[in-house]
Amino acid sequence: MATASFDRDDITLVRAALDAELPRLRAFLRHLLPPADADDVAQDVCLEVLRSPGVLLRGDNPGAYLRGIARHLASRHRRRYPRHQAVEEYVALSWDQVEPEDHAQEQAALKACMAGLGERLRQMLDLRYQEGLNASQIGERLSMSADGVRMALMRGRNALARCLGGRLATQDAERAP
Amino acid sequence: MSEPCVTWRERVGGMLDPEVPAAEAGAFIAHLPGCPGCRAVVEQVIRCERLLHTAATQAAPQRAPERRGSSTSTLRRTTVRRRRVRRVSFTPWIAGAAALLLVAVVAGVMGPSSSTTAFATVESATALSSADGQALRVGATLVSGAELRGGPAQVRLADGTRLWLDADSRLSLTSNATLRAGGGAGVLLRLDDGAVGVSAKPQDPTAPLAVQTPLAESVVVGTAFRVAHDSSGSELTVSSGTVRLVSKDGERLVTAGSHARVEVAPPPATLIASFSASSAVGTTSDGQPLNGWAGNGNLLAQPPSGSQQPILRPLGKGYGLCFNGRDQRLATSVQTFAAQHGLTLIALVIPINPGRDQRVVALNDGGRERVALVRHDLSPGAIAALVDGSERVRVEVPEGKYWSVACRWQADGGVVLNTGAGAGKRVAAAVPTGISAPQLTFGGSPSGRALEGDIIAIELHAGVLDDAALAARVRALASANRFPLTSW
Repeated sequence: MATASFDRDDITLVRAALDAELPRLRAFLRHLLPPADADDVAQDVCLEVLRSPGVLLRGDNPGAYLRGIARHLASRHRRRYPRHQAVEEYVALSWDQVEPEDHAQEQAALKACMAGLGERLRQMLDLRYQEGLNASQIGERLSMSADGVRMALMRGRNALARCLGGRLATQDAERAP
Repeated sequence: MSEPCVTWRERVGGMLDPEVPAAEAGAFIAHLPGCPGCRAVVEQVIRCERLLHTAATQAAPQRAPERRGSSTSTLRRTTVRRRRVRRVSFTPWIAGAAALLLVAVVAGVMGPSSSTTAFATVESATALSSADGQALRVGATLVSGAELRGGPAQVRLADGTRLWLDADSRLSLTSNATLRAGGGAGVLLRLDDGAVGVSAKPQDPTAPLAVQTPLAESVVVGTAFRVAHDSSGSELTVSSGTVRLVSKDGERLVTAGSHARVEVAPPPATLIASFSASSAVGTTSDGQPLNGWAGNGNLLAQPPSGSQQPILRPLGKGYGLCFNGRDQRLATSVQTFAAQHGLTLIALVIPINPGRDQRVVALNDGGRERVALVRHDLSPGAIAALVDGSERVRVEVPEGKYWSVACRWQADGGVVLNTGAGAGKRVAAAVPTGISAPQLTFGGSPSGRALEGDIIAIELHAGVLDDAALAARVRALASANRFPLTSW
């Protein structure tokens, strides 16, 4: 029986493309799913791509292609995390719309806005987004109820979103001719 | 900005959290298309979340995994659970449907034009065989009508187009075939299971390459794409160019970076009860369309065997059924039906009858009525929601229109009354609409207690919907619940 022997160059190129896209793919999946499941799905996406390496290489938007596969694979988790499908559509749209050159400016604005939050709220946001803990786990770390954590995170997201919106709008206005 | 907008915008950061159940955000999401202000807030919060996630993953970048079998995958080390890629065997009814389609393909599509000219070559293969079980090795040539089983494998067509076949796939290749949707295909790939990636060379527009699954046809317009099919449906992901997707839902162009899915329709629901009245519409607790309804005198209420989407969805404890009964006889029949099937009947939605002071629904606390929605004779088509006998909200509902009321239970046993999302108009509200009722119960719930987060959605109709509107509504409900409708 013949052994699988995909073109070695193709595999190398695909791996390079995946390495470049993986952080963003993982971030996208963490936007859809809790971190452990997101990382599982990210791995599955990579394995799917490696099965058909040519498709990724010949495409002109590898990120969108990977997110398409990711959404398909993530849909298997919908039963456990029955997030409203419309929310997912808004999330996907957000990832499709933003141009890469905006990232540095957005990240700088985020950093500035984070600095304006209280220490405890910053700690909660770090635990949620950096360490990937859920509300119950954060609650255990900080001796708070899960509901209390959810409420604080909700307020934190709202405050950050307002701050970001203001800062980015100001930057846009300054850049305008 | 309306009052619901203020409340929702304060809570939007919580409602978009993946840990929050869909029901929580249902009403808000339904409100978004008509409210640019709320939509902007949602987009702002999602943008913020995207940045937080991006910052987190950029802080700790990880490499792509090696192919299965390698030991150097960083991701694999971090993965708690590994799952086998899904390979679902066809259930009998699906196999039957697939067989029917396959017969149609063989008789009307693939048959007349088979050729014995070699038009494809196997470039790499693992566990690949032909339909008769003969192993296919690198360099093997394929003629029209060849069927490939197994994989992964790579195949090159005569025009330079490359195919990547996933493991455990089933793919047949035919030259000069006729498509289901009409027109011809230079090469037709028939995928019955698994997945195939395609990087197509420029195609002859009069005889392009096409990939067919039991549910859909993807016709190449000059592109790279991937098609997958299993027992739940067919999935198309386009990497570059454009693919024309033809399915039972019609024809559409899928562009680069997009994906489209065609799902298997479930079998028809079993008819287990019928009513004399012909109208029964409403919504479930999570804002979804009604899960049981009467159409042409029949009530579809029993999930088909093996269905993944029961018609009657759980609502905390018991089930939700909302009916717009034309008469008391229907209401009584529904109550009897619910009792016979152990269902909790939460709300009856009854048209407002001008001139009659009619109770629409009442929520009870140990036998004492705490929340009631009644018709007042203050003006035609007006509805008032009472809490402990005091009017909290009054709305006007024009003839033929509707208004929704939702009661949401809190952790402390209290309840918040929300109204909105209808074609009616709020004319009076006494704030706050939240009430505290530690022992609040409703309907005939077996345990007598609502659960935290339970939402009862009630649709109030002024007058009876006309037949055309009702038919359209039932069609929409059937479509949303993926039920075939044959009698409308």
